[in-house]
Amino acid sequence: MNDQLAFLNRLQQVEFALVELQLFLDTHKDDQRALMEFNQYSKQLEMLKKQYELQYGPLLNFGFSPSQYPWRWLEGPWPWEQVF
Amino acid sequence: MYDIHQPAMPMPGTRPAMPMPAMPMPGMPMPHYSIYPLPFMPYCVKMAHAYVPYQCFTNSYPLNEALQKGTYFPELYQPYMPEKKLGGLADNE
Repeated sequence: MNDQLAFLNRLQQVEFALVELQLFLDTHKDDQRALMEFNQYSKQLEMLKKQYELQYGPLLNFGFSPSQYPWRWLEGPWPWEQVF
Repeated sequence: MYDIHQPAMPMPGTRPAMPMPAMPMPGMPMPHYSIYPLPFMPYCVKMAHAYVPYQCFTNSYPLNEALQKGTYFPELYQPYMPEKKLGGLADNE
């Protein structure tokens, strides 16, 4: 697995943990430990995304991710070209 | 509808269907009444009624394992194993 795919995989892992913690918190709003982990991973995700976009280009289009020069949205590999 | 917020008081002369709290299934966490507003199971369960145990946060998988298994919570990891008869519980559960 190359570095970019490994990075994407790490992003997916953190995002998945956040989905799980979100669903748990929806029914356990007073669970401080779950909330603490949620906020911790949320911060981590933000940092990982920023770092990923600096190295490999935008994750989102239409203004949700900034781009360096030259316009990096056109760079591959595209999602359907990734082999996990 | 059975109100799980209010422990049901058994009628005089009757006994609760099960001792309280209900026995958790093997591998299930014990209830934490101190931080959760709901008990793991209702205090006095009625026969022939269906209940969903209240999930308690005890431990979690490492992130890579969680993504691969499809859940962050070990107590929810129950892959379908038709050859097993015990509700498809995994070997390590």
